[in-house]
Amino acid sequence: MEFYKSTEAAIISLCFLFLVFLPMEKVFPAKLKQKIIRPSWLLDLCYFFGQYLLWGTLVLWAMNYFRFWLDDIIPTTFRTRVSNQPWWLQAIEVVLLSDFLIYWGHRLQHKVDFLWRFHKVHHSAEHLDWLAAHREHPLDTIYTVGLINLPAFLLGFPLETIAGLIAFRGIWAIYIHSNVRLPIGKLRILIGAPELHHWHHDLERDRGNYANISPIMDVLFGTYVCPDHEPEQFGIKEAFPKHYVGQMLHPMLPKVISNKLYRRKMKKSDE
Amino acid sequence: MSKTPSTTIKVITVSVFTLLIICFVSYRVGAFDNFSFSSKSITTYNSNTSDNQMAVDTPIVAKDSIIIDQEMMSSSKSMMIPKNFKRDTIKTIPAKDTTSKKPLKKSSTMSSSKSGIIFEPQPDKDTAKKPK
Repeated sequence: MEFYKSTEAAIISLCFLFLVFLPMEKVFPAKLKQKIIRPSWLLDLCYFFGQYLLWGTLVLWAMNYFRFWLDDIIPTTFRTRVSNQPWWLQAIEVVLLSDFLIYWGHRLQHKVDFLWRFHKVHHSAEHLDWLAAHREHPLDTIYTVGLINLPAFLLGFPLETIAGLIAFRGIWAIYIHSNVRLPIGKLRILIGAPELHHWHHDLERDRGNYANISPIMDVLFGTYVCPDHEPEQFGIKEAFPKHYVGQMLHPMLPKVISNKLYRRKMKKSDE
Repeated sequence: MSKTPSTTIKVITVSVFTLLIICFVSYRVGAFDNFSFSSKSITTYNSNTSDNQMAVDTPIVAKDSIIIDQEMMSSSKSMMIPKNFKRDTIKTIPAKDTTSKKPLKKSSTMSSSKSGIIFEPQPDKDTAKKPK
């Protein structure tokens, strides 16, 4: 029954996202030649359904565990002080701290090889659109979601009070992956834009634009890049499996084994 | 050769996009839901004040959620949203008894990884937690 409900929800979500982003990608395409049914769309569809039907529970469990573990170790006096502040101040603190943490956490994902092993699954997408936004290793998701939520967990801030903002940023995070180029002027600094995130997905691993949604942290820490054209190519330079199971397993295997397996697979396909 | 869409098409597309985003956000904050207050309230111990106060979180149940128990259409780059969101759900009332060990209802969560997370109370499966 649960599986049926999850499947239904996933299909409804897929249809809604299709409806929201497809017209934009058609009318304001960033890459003119990119088609809707582009290479690896089926792989990204697997990621989409994988996240809705399989990995959601895992992430959920991890977050729940993390949250209640933090509840036990955070002194109540600290939370008392925080909650004595006005609501709006707490909201700003949580959003800014969250953006700060995810910015540095994301930079680390690109810097530290161990984290990059998982994060490069997301960057392996060579064609960006709203569907490609869902390409993510579940352990990478746990890391990201954990960091983003850490300030709220620490401060005991009721996130439901900023549900609108969170919902907007959530769907906007999918939008910034879409194949859209629509300049929104200075609003870009506040809410981010696809043209910025596209550069983050450039072939160069350390290209920049690590901020979550708003590029303020990138501006502050000097990693903001925004050329007036699209990157020539998205993806990663490293050899990487092209199928779902391979991409799921690759980061978890020791480097020697995963490279060996991958080479053998490549050799077979060449033959 | 690809045709460039006319200004009218562009304006319509952006308008529809904006409208759908607004609809989505409104939906997520419960604007389209017929909320009803559950008779069971979640009792948590308030850490806000030192004068023996207790926070009562009254759950709101979204009836017609297209989300169907999952918070969808979001991203892992977004924070978690508890399902029962409403600004006034946490009310501070004077506590009658803060010495006894009342159970803190622990919410269960369901979600998809990319799409964020929801907290949903499950009274039967709650784990007791002691107030600090």
